[in-house]
Amino acid sequence: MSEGDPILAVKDLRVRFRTLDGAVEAVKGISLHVNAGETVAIVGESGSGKSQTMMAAMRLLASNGEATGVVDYRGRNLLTLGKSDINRIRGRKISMIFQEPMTSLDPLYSIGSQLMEPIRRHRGLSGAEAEKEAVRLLDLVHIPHPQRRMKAYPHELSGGQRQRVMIAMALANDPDILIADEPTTALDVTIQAQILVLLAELQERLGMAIVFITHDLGIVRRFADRVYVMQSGVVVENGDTETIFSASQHPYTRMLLAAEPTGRKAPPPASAPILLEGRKVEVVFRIGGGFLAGQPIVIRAVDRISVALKKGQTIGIVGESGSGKSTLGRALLKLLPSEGVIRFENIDISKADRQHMTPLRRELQVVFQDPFGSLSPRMTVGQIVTEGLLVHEPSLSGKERDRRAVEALKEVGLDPNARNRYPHEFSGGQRQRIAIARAMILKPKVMVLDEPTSALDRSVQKQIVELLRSLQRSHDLSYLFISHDLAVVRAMADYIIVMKSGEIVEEGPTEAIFDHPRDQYTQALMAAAIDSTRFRQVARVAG
Amino acid sequence: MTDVTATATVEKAMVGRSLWGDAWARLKANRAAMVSLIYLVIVTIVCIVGPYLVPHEYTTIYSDYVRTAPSLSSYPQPEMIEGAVTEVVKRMRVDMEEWHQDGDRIFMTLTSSKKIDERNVRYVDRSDTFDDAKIEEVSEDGMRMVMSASIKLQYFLFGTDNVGRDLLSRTLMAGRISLAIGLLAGLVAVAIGVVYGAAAGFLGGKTDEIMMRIVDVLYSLPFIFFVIMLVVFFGRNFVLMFLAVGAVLWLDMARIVRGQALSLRRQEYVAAAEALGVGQRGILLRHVIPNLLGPVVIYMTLLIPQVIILESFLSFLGLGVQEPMTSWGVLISAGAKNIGTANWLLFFPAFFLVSTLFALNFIGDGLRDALDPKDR
Repeated sequence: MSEGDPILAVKDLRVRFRTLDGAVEAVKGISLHVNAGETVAIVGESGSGKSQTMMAAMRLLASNGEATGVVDYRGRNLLTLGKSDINRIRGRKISMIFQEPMTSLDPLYSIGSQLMEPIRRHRGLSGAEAEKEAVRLLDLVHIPHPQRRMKAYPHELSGGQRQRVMIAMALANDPDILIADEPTTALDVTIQAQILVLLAELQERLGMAIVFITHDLGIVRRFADRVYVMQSGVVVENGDTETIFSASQHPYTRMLLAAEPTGRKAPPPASAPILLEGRKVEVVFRIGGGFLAGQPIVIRAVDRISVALKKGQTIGIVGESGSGKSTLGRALLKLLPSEGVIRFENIDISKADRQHMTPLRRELQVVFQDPFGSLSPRMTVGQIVTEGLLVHEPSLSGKERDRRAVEALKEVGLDPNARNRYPHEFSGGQRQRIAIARAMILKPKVMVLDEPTSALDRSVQKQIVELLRSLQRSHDLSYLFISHDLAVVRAMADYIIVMKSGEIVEEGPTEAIFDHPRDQYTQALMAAAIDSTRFRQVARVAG
Repeated sequence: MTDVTATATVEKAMVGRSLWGDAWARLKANRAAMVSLIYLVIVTIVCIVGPYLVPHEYTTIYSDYVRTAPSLSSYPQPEMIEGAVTEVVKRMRVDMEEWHQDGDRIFMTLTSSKKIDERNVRYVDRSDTFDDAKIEEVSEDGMRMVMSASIKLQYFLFGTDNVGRDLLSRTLMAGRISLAIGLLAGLVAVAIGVVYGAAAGFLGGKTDEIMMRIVDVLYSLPFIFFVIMLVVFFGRNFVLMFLAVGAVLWLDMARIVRGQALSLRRQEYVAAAEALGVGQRGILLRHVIPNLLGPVVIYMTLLIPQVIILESFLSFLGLGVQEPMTSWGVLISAGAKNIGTANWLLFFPAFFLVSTLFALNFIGDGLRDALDPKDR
C-alpha cells in the first residue's frame, strides 16, 4: 500500500442514542478519512461528538447507542463485521488509548502481565517470547528499567508512566492506526509535552497513522497533519493544519482559535490594604497510624508558605497536581486545619473555631473546580444559590431570598427563570456560573477560585474568565486564583506564585514570571505550555 | 453542551425535572418493575380486604372437610353426602331406614327402639354439611321420624388444611402478617440503620470507629441464639418479631449508609456548604440525607423480602407467630409436612410468598437502575 491511500474511511456516519427524552443524534452524518502514516486531529468541544465518532467506528458504543453508515477499513465495513472479525482488527490493527490512565489499567495485575496478554492472544507467542516483547515495548516508550518495571502494579507508576504503558499496550501488535482520545488531558503540562513527543517519535519510527481526538488546539497545531473541526455532530471544516490555522473559513473554527483568554490584569495600587494574609502556613496530613497500625505516614502538603492578598488583587497559584496549591487555598479559608498564622482584615483567625468563623464565611468565598460535583444534585438552582443567605441573613423572607437569587443569577449572566431547575439540566459552563452566583450572593471580599475553568471547554473558559474579571471590577474583589493552566492564569492574575511539592519555588508579578522565569521548574512549565515548536521536529531531533 | 451564549440556551421553563422525577420516569419505562409494583399493590389490597369477603373465618374448623382438595365447584360433592348423613345419624344413636335427596334438601327416615328425641335435630345443624334441619313427620309412637335438612353449599377455592380450616382465608391472613412484618421490621431496620450509619459516617474519626465496632460486635452474635434469648425472656409475641428481625437487619443498613455518608462527606458541594458557613445540622439535613435516600430506598425494597424470609424461617422453627394466627412461613412449614398427601397446602402459600418476593426484587432492581446516577 502506497503512502497517501486512505486506510480508514468513514462515510456518512450517524450515531444515535436512545434516551428517556427520545432519540438523541450525537453524530449527524460525518465523513472523514485517514491515510496511512499521517496524523489526523478531530477537534471540537465537549458534546461535539468527536469521541463518539471513533467509538462508533470501533464498535464500542454504549448499549443504548446505534451507528449507521460505513466505516471502511482496508475494504471491510467495520460496522457490519461479525464479533470475532471485529475483535481481530480491534486492538490489533486499530488500537486505542484513552484519557484516563488511572482507570484504563487493571489495578489487580502487574503491568507486565497486562502487556503480555494482548501479545499472546493476537500473535500466539509463547510466554517467554511475549515477555521479551513486552520488555522491548516498555523500552520503546521510554519506561526506565523496563525489566524491573514488568512486575510493577499500576498504582506504583505515575500518571505519565501509566499513559506510556497504555501506549505500549496499544502498540503491542504493530497497529496501522492508533486512536488517541484526549490522551494528555488528565496529565500535567510538562508530562503532556513528554507524551506528545513520545507519540510523535513512535510514529516516526513505526509509521502508523494517528487519529488524535482533542479539544486543545495548541496540541493540534504542533502535532497534526490534517484537522477535522466538529461542532454538534457535524464536521464544519477540514483541511491542512496550516490552512485551518492561518485561513479558517468557518466561524466556529475562528471562535475556537480565538478562545484563548486574552487581556492582562493591572496590579492594585501599592497603597491597597492587605486583606488576607498567611504567614508560614503549614498543612500536614497523617495517613494511617494509630492503635496497632504503627507510625503514620506524614505528608507535608503545604510547607511554611507566606501569602499576602491585597484588596483588588488577584494572586495566581500555579503548580502541577500534588503541588499543594488547592490545599493552600483551603487552609487559608480555614476549611482545613493548619499551622501558622492566618489574618483576615488584620484579625488573627488561625485559632478561630467553627462558631467564630461563621460570620467571616460570607466574606471569604470559594468556587471549586468541578462544576458537576460542587452543586448538590437534589436541590434546585434557587435553593443552591440562596443557601448562604439562610445562614447569614436568616431573617430574610422567602420572597426576599428569591429576589436576591434572581439578582445573583442575572449578575452571572444566567436566565433567572431557570432557578427552579436542577443542576443536571445545565451545561458545565452554566453550572460554574451557578457556583459563582452562590458565592457572589453573599457579597464576599475574598474569593478563592480553585481551578474554576479546568473542567470547561476553551470558549466557555474564556467567558468565565471574563465574568470573573468583570465581577472583580464592579465589586473590588480579591481573588486567589489556583490553576495549572498558564494561559488562564496569565489573563487573570497580576501576581503569581509557583508551587512545587508544598513549597514556593518562585513568585513575582505576572509579566516578570512569564518573561523571565528564573527557576528551572518554572522554565520547564512555561516551555511545556507556551512553546510553539512542533513536536515532530522535536522528535526528529531526539530520534 | 456548548454554551456559546450562556443565557440564551436556558429556555424559559419555570419548573425543572428533579432527580426523583427522572427516576420515576425511568422506573415507569421498566416493564418488569411496573408489573411487579402493580402486582404487589393488588396482593396487599387482597390480603387486607380479602379476609372480610371470604365467607370463612381463618379460625373456623370444619371437621367434615379435613384436607379437602381445592376446587372451583361447591362442597359437599354428591358422594360426600352419604358419608355425612351416616355420620350424623351415628351421633344421634338411632337407625336409618333410608335417605334420599330431593333438590337441595335431604330427607332421612329414622327409626329407633325408643322414642326419638326431637332435640336430635341439633346434631344435624351441628354438621358442617347440613343446615336448617326440620322434623317433617313423626309416627304416633315417636319411634319413627322423618327429618329434612338443606345441604349447606360451601366453596373452598384453596382447599382446607389438616384440621379443616379454609386455606384461602388463612393464606390471606398470613399475607397480612408477613407483609406487615416485612414492612414494619423493614422500617425499624431502615430507621435505626440510617440514623446510626449517617451519624457514624458524618461525624467520622473516633466516633465512627467506636460506633462501627459496636456494629461488628452485634454482627458476630448468632441470630438464632439472640432470638431464642428474646423469646425465653419476653415470651412469644408479635411485637417481639419486629424487634428481633429489625434489630438484626439494621446492621447492614447502617454499614451501607455509613459508606454513603463517608463519600458524600467528601463531595465538593459539602465543602462548598461548609465554606458558606452552613452548620453540621444544615449539611446533614440539606445535603447528606437527601442524597442518601436513593440507596436507602433501593436497599429497603431488598430488605423487605429478607425480613419476610427471616420471619418464615423463625416460624418454621416454631419461634414465630403462634396458632391460630399464621404467616406464610407457618403455612409453608405445615404444607411441607403434607407434601405427599395434600400438596395444595404447600402450593398456595408458597406461590404467594415466592411471587411477592419476586415482585419486591424486581422493584428493587428497577429502582436501582432508575436511581443509578451512572446514566446521567
